Amino acid sequence: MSSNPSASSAVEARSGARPGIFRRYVFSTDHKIIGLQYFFLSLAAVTIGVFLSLGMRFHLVWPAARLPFVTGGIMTPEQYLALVTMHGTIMVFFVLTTAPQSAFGNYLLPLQIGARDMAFPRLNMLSFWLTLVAFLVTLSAFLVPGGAPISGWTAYPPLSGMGEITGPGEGAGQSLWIAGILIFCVGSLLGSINFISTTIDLRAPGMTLTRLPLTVWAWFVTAILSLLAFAVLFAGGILLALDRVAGTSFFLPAGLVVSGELQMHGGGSPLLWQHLFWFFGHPEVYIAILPGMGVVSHILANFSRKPVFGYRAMVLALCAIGLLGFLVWGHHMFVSGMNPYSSLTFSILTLSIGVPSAVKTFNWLGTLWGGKLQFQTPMLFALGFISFFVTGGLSGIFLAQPALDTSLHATYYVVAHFHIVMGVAAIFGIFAATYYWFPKMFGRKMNKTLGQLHFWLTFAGVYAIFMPMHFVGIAGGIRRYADASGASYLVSLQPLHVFMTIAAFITAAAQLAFFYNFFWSLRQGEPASANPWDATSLEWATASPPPSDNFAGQFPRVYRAPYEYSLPAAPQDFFPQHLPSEQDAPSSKGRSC
Amino acid sequence: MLASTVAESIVARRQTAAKTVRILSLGVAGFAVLCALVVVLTASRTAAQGCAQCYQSAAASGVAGRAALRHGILILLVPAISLFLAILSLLCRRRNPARPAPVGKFSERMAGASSNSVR
Repeated sequence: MSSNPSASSAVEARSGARPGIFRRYVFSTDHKIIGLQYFFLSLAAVTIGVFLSLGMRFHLVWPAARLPFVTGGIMTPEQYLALVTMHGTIMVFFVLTTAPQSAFGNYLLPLQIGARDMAFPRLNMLSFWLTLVAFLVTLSAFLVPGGAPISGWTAYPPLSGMGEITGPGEGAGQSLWIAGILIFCVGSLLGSINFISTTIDLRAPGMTLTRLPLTVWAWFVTAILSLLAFAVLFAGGILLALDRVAGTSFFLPAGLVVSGELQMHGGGSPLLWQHLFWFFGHPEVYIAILPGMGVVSHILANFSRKPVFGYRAMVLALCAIGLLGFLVWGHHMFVSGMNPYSSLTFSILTLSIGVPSAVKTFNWLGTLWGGKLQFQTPMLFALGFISFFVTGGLSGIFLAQPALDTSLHATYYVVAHFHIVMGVAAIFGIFAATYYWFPKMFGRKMNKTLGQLHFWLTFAGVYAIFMPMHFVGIAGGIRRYADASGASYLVSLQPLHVFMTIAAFITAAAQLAFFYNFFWSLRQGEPASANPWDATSLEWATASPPPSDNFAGQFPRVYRAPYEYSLPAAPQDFFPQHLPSEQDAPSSKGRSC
Repeated sequence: MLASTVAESIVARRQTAAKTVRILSLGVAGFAVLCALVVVLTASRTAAQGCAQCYQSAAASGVAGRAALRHGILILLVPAISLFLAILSLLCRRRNPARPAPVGKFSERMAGASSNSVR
C-alpha cells in the first residue's frame, strides 16, 4: 500500500485529468473529504440516537401511550431496553468517538501540523468505510426478527452470550451488534495508527512539540487511547462471539438455568467480560472528551485574545488524564463483587484523575482571566463545555467512593453524571468545533443569531434535563426500568420525570435551529475569509476551504508557539505561527506559507 | 527611604503568603492522608453488596481462578501503560521535525494538483 497518494495527484496534474465525482467525494483519500464524511455520518447517527432517547423519555412518562414506530403500538419493557441499548451504542461509538476524533481530527490534524495529508491516506479511507459499514450493521439489528439487543451498550454476559433463549433481540440482533462493534474496532484501530504516525512523522519544519496546538496534542493522546482500548474490546468481542456461536464458555458460568433449562456452558466468568469491557470503556470516556478539551483550549485562547495559560501544564495534564484513564476501569465494577482491595486501589486512582482535570479547569479560567473576551458562538459553546465538565466532574467524585457507589450505582444519579460529563460536555465540544471551523471547511460563516439561540436553549435545556435526574437518583430512582408504576416510592418521582421529558423535547427541538443554520449556511452563509477569527494556527494560513494539497504547493514553516495573541510588540494582536518575525526569517530556513 | 520600606513590606507580605500556602498545603496533604486511611480501613466492608452472580461465579472458580482474575488486572495494565509511554517517548525522540520543507520539483507537481480544490 502506497503511503503517498500525491503520486496519483501528480499523474492527474500532469495529464490534466480531474478525478471523477466518486473518486473526489465518495472514495476519496483526501483527509478533508474523509473528515467531512465522518462528520456527516456522526450527524446522521446523532439524529437517530436523539430520536431513540426521546422514545425512551416518552415511554417513561406515558408508558401506556401508543407510538407509531413501535411494533404492537405500546412499547414493551424489552423494546424499551432495546432503545436503551441502541441509544447508548450509537451515541458512544458513532457520535462521541466518531465526531471529535475522526471527523475534526481527520480534517484538521494535517492542516494544523503543516502536512499535505495523513500518513496513510488509503488506510484512512478504509477506516471511514469500515465505520460506515459498522454503523449500518449495528442499525440492521432493528430489522431482524426479535429486534435490537436488550443487554445494554455494555453487553454484559450471560444475557449477551446465550442467544435468543435469554430474550427478544438476543438472537440475531445481538449477533449483529457484536459484528458491528468488531468492524468498528478495526476501523478505529486503523485510524489510530494513522493519527499517531502523522503526528510523529509529518510535522512541518519548526513544528516542535511545544509549538503543537493543544488540539493536536489531544488528538494524539486520544489516538493512543483508541489504539490500546479498542484492541482489548476487539479481543473481548471475539470471545463473546465465540461463546454465542461456537459453544465456548469464556464468559458463561456453570449451572445457569434459563427459562427452566439448564445450560450446557460452564467454567466461564462474567467478571472477565466486565474487566475486558471496562478496560476499553473507561478510556472511551476520555476518547470522547479529550478532543473536546483540546478544542476548548484552542477556542478560549482565540476568543480571549490571550495565550493559553500554562501551555506545558495543559499538555502534561492531557497526557496524565490519558495515562490515568487506563488505571481506573475498576470503578465501573465496584458492585461486581471483586476483591475489595482492588476497589480501594481503583477508588484512589480514580480520585487522582481530579488533579489533572483541575489543572485544566484552572488553566482555562486563567486563560479567560483578563482577556478581551469575544462571545462568538464557538466561545459560548466552549464555556458551556467547561460548565458541564465541572458539573459532571463534581458528581463523579461521589461515585468514585465504593461505599457511595454501592447505593448510587443502579440509579439515575449515574445516568445524570455520565450524560453531563461524557455526553453533553463532549457534544458541546463538537458544537464549538463545528461553529469555529465551519468557515474553514465550507468557506462560509454560520449565522450568529441562530447560533446563540441554539446555545442558550441547549445549555438551559440540558441542565433542566439532568439536574433533576441527580435528585431522582439520590431518591432511589432505578435506571433501566421501563415503567416505574409498580413501586410507590418511584411513583412519587414521576413529576420530575415529566419535567425532564418536556425539557428533553424542547432541547431536541432547539437542535432544529442548528440543523437549519448548518444547511442554510452551506449555501447562503456570509462568505468567510481565510482567517475570519484572526487566529494563529496553521489551518488559517491557507484558503477557506483549503485546496486539495492543503497549502497550494507551498509548505509552511513554523516560527512560534501556537497561541501568540496580544503580544506587546506585534503589529496586530495576533501572530500566526507561519509568519517569521524580522529576526528569524532568513531565506535559507525554507519557504513560509 | 520610602522605596526601601515598600520593598520590605512587599517581602514581608510574600513571606506571610508563602507561610500560609505551606500551612494550607500541609493541611490538604494531612486531610488526603486521613481520607486514604479511612478508605483503607473500611474497604472490606464496602464489598458486602454487589452482583451475586459475579461474586458466586468468581468464588466458585477456586483459588487459581480468583488469582487469575487478580493477575488479569496486571496483565491488562502493564502492556497498555508500557505502550502508552513508549509512543509518547517516540514522539519526544522526534520532537524536532527533521524533514526539510520539500521545494522545487515536488512543489511544481503539487502546484498543478492544487487546482483540484475540494470546494
